[in-house]
Amino acid sequence: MAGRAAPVYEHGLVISARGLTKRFSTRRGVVAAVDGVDFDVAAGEFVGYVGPNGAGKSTTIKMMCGVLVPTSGEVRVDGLDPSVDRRRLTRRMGVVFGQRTSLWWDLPLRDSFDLVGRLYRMPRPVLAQRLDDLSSLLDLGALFDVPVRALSLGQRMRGELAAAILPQPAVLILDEPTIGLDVEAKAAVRGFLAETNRREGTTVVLTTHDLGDIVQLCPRILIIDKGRVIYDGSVDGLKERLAVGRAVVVDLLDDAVPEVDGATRLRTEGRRHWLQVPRDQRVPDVVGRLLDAYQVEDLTVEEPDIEEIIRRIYREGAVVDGP
Amino acid sequence: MVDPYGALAVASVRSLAGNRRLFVLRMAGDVGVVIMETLTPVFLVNRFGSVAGWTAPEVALLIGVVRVGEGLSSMFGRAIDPFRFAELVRRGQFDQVLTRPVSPLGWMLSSGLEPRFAFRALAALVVVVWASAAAGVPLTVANVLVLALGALASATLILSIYVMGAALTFLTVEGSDLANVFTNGGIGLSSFPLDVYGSALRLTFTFLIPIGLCVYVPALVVLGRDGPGILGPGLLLLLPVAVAAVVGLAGLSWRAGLRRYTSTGS
Repeated sequence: MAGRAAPVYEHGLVISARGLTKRFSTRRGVVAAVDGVDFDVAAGEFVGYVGPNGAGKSTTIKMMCGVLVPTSGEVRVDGLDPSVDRRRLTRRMGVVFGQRTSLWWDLPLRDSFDLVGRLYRMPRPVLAQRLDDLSSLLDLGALFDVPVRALSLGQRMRGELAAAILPQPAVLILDEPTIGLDVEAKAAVRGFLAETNRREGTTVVLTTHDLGDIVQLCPRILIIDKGRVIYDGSVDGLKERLAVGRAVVVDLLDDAVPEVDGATRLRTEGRRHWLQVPRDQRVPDVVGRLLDAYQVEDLTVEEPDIEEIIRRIYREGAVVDGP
Repeated sequence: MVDPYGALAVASVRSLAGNRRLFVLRMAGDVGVVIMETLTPVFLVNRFGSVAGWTAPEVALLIGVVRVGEGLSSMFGRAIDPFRFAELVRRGQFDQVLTRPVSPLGWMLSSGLEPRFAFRALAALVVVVWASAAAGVPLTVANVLVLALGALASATLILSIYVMGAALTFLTVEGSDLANVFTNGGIGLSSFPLDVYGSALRLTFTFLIPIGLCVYVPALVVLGRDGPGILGPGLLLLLPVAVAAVVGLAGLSWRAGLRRYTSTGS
């Protein structure tokens, strides 16, 4: 990835970052929150931007919106340099900060939509039509006359999404849109984002700590740690790259401790044992050896858990970007 | 051009509305504040007959003009008041403003609109009218224009200082009373004729922080007086230039601050 040549804006690319860096001066000296990040996002992609707290996710997002000016390197969004053409870019980009509100707190939800329409100079009939569509998609009908401060977090997030997508942006950027939401509200948000990406071809980039968001929504993820991108690819590719095998969970009838070729025992709870089978070993072989040598009561095979994988990357900060 | 800002102003006023009793109480408070701010120095001057040759109504004229300016600046400048603005930045709301297709400064000025301060300006206007009559200022179009210019220039100057203070907040993310030193300091200082101060202070508050040009010089013009040293009614010609310079400086600081804006947390 590093060393890729200079053309910053190529056809079909909506977002393109090259050597993107942001340093902050703190009491402990200069800290690089984002440290030479390179990535491209093509039109219509749905990308998850993940990493532990303080990895540089929000800082990257803020540079993409033009809120922060990069220390060095560059980023282009829809062909524009956000720090130069910030206002022009805002017309093509919807932004949702999950922990903040862009709605007018003391006014009914309807007024916020109306104001967004005025800010983006949307013609009245267009705004009305658009609101009609969105209100059925997000089930907003009953909320229009409720002051924003009286909405639940889930209801408010539906309102935020509608407001962000109202002017039909080409790019939608979301910073932790599902934070603090209950299961049902999360499902509503995920459903809406997938639908928007599919129907309107909106390019979506979201940061999240919820791995459910990643698994359900993002064909592609970027993992950032300590300001650097340490993985760029699919969730499945991540499993392969890490060569995490499957696990065989076996319940024995006696107190024997299973030790078989081609597997390593991960842990034991009473008579239940977890055996790790690396990618280069066949699971049926291991199972056959188990059945031959031990009194087996029950046996299941577990797929590697993506949450565990990502947790491991956070923990170990492993650079899994291959050759 | 007007549309998004007008809509923002209406939204902010509607957000404030709701409690009419509170509105009436605050309005009464605002009018009371102006009366006290005028009466205290006027009584003081009255006690001694005059200050540096200025009678009580003449001093009241200075107070009236600068308080009209203050009222107008408060109407638009509440959202960039140093502490409020720092709070807004800390809570990340300013990030939201930057994702909108409007001028951030225009957003701050329109979405901070508080009409109740119009009553403060109005009460101060009553003071100006009374003081002019009592000091024997001839009621001519020229005099009205000169006083209006003084009040508007004061408002612009105070707002510009707020903007510079807000620009400083981009760097520190903390509120600071630094801007208030100049705004409140300037307002207090210009409530008395500059004749009473030493020449260093006089020149500072005429040429560096030109509140004297906005308040004292217009008063000299309508009262037909001359000031000490180089201060005189002729300096009125400098007023537009000085105000333009301050506005320009405020705009530049805002821009420079915005480029160094570091936002907050996640």
